[in-house]
Amino acid sequence: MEQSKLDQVKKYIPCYKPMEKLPEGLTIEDVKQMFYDICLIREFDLKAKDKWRSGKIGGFCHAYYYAEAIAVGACKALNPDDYITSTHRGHGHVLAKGASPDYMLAELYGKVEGYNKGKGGSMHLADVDSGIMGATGIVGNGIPPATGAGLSAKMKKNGKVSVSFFGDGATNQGTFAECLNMAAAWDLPVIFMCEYNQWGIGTDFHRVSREHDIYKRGIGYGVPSVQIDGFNVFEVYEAMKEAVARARRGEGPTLIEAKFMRLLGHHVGDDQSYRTEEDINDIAVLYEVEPLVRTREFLIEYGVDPKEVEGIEQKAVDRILRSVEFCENECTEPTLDTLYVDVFADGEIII
Amino acid sequence: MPKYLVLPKIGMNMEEGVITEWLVNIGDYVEKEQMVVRAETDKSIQDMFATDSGIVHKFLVEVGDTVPCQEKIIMLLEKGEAPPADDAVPAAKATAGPAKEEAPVATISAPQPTGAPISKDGRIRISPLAKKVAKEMGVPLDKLYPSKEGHRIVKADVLRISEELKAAPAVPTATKGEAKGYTPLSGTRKVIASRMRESVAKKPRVALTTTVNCENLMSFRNMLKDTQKIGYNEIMLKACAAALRTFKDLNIITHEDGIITECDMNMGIAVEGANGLVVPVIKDVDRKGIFEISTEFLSLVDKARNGNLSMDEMSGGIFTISNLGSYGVESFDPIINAPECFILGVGAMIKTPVVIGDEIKVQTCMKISLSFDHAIVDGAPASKLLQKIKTLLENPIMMLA
Amino acid sequence: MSKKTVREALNEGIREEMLRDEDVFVIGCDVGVRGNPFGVTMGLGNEFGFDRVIDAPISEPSFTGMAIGAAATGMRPIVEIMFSDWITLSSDQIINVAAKMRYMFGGKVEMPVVIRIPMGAGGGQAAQHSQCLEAWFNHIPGLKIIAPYEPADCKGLLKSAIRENNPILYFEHKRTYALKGEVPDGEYLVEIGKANIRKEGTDVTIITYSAMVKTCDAAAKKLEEEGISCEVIDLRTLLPLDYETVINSIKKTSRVVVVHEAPVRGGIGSDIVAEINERAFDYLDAPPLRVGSLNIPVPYNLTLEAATLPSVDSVMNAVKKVMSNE
Repeated sequence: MEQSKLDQVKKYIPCYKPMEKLPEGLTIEDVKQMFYDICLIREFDLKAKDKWRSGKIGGFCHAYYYAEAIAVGACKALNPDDYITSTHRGHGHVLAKGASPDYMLAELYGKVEGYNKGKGGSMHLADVDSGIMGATGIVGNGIPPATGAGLSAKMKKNGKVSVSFFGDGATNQGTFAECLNMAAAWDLPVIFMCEYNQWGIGTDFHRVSREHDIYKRGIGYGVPSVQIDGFNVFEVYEAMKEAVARARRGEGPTLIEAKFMRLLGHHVGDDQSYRTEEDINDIAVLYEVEPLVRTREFLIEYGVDPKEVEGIEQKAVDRILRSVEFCENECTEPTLDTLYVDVFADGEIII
Repeated sequence: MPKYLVLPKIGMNMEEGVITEWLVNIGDYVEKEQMVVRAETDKSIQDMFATDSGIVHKFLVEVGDTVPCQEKIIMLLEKGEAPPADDAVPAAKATAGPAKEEAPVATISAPQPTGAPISKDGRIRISPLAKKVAKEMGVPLDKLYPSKEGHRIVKADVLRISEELKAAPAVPTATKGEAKGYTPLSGTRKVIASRMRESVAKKPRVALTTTVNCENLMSFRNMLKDTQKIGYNEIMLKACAAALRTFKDLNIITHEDGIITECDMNMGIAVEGANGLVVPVIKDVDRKGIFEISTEFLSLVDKARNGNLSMDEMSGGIFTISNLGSYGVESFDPIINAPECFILGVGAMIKTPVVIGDEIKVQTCMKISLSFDHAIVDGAPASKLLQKIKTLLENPIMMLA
Repeated sequence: MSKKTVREALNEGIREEMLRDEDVFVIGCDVGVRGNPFGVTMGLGNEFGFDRVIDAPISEPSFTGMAIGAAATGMRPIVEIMFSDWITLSSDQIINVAAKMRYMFGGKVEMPVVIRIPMGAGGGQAAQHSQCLEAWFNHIPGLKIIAPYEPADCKGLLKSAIRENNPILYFEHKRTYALKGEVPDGEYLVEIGKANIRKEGTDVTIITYSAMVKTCDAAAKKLEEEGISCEVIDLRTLLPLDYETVINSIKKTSRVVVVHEAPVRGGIGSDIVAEINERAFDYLDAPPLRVGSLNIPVPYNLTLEAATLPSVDSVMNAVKKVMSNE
């Protein structure tokens, strides 16, 4: 990459790092799988956006694309039974952790077959069987439950770790500071994964904080903390691998600041009126370093047949098409007799 | 402030008593320590003393109730003291004796509009506003009833009834000075009254009378009596059901602007209940034997006399028998028990000269009159029904056919 | 007088008060550059500067508490909580500080803070973006609660609220932002604590507020066609509640239905019905009824959501029930 472009990239992502070599512990087949996952998330959200715009999906729908490196890199380092908590922008976490796009999309369609039986929607996707302890629509609201999952793992001595995904906005919530402190004090197996996309809806993070290096906040609480290139799936994987190993050894939490840039609106209907045209032009260079583009480049440079790479992308597209067909042809609307179901345990209904 | 008598604890282990008899009446003045109630305790039936003095205003429990010791059983007032404002006159409980006033309410069959306001727990179901307005207008609560059975009495009902009361000639002024007394209709009486008026107003009735030769009927009954005690009423119930069953078009009751057809053979019989006329109903009489009918009938009569008939036991009839023969009445045309369309008035069995062949013989006969709702049923089919009843009563064996 | 939306009326109210009193400022997430997600504070940042229309970090508990502190020291803050569901985050500062500071400190502190709270369900926003939590605060002595509907009331009550020296929770309904109505230009105040009889009637009183006013209007219109005359009261202020208007109406109609979007159990309606029973028992011809959402979290699926919320039909059914005397 030419220097001027590189400078421009580093203006927004100071810790930018090229994807040069295969990380230790990963084979090229792993990378192909990770590329497929990135494509799957991308395609899922492109379709979700379409379907939201055509009225098939209600409520708020926050797209994850361009952040795929974080979900995919992080979940690659986890066991299937480890815990994660997600955010309002959570489709990527849920897919990367192993949930089926069929039941996820069915949930967005509000169908009975959806992971939440049509009661949660986009912002509350959860698949407890895959360790996905759910997405929350409130910023900073998933951090304490994730830390709590770490506490339970420690108390049960089951060797599990817990990852809380959250954005930079959440680092200004009290829950972030409070949980960093407790996780550090008690050596809880928790990884605080900050998806630093630099925008809280229409508010630039830099306007509402003085210290822009979020990882430093972790250090203040005695938590090993690291800043990485959030567009680079290998960087995320390696940081996570180390953090997970530390957690499993009983040495407590890690804060990972994965810095990148939100290249799209807050939700799929957001016109981004608060971003100037100048800003938007200025960040255009980042499309060259976004995770799908870079991972594809890596595969080709590594020597994988471009036709095979294309095939992987097509496979993801086809997979999501099958999910759409599933939702539109095979799923059913919930009936009104389910309204009071699941408010209380053991089938109890209190009107 | 009213005072209360409680059920005293008169034995070490006594926890409760079953009230068996009141020894005082409403309005009586009782002295403390005076015996006021007879109750069954864990040991025996014993008389219980008054725990205070005053005038008996109200019984708070009923005969038959199991009452824990120290529970209030009688409300006492001082002479001239007004009852408390929230004294909603739970009529059933305020009346001495075993009768439950809600029972007669139940003589009303389901589709009928009017009804009495007293719910099963003996409370008058009335809105706070209606109660207040009634008080302000001087309309006694026991004169109120809702516009539709089972509904709450509301302000509109008070206004309507107040108008009715004004319109009705109360005690004629001319005789007011000499009048010995005036008693407003009680809840039960009022229900009967309104039902009778309603029936007369809505069901133009014609009575057809015929004479039944009772000779075979008497032998038939004697035959049955050897096995089980049987009265004529039970046989007549069976005969009427058997007759009615052969006229499918007449198995009807009226409902709003139409009729309900294909009704079950549920037969009612007028009985003198604890508080007046009640009509217990025996279900599916056509499918039951006379002994079975009799057992059921006697049990219902017993309940009627004690005021214990349930709503279910008084509803669903399609035909009523009213037998005044035992009082020597020769014949009469009773008022139809709406929404039914027929009622059979049964007269006394009387020795009558009868022409048989060319001879005059003395035989026992009785007159029966079938009142029918001419709005719904024509004379010819009603006559055929009466004829069939007569045939069956004269040849009871034919009921088997 | 000109036609304005609720959004514009609120914006105008804030703007006029900011012009009138330089101690008035706005703080909340995305209120400045973006003008809040619903456009209520649009343009205010450019006009008054981003020092007076402050984009806060996502730190509701603390920026609410800070506004409370600023109020106690001479400012007149308007806080915005983007979705009412998140008022839970700020509730410690509201309940334990704002509501009690004056009393605890012997009356020596003023608390002129207004907390604006967009609330309500619709469109599948699901369980954490749909709630109406006004009843929680009704339980807290020291707070006032406003929940208007008409654009003019939105402006007039917001201006009055900003001038009050008490902490006020000002609930706006997201579904009403685009509602249009005549709004007086310039100075226009609506007294806090006064209900508005929207429509007179003789048979039954329907008491409601916020977006449910629209539902009740529609129900009353249909009921009128069926021969039931409804009196519709828009409470506008929930605390203090205008019981004089409520009781006078009940004296006339003797029947009452209370309607709100929040769940029935523990809702404002429960409190209103209790007060009616205490103050107007002798004027009732039927038990007062409450209509509200089902007692469940708001579900995402649109059919389930619609069945959870009160509707024109559910209001009509309740009115028919109180009219039936059954």
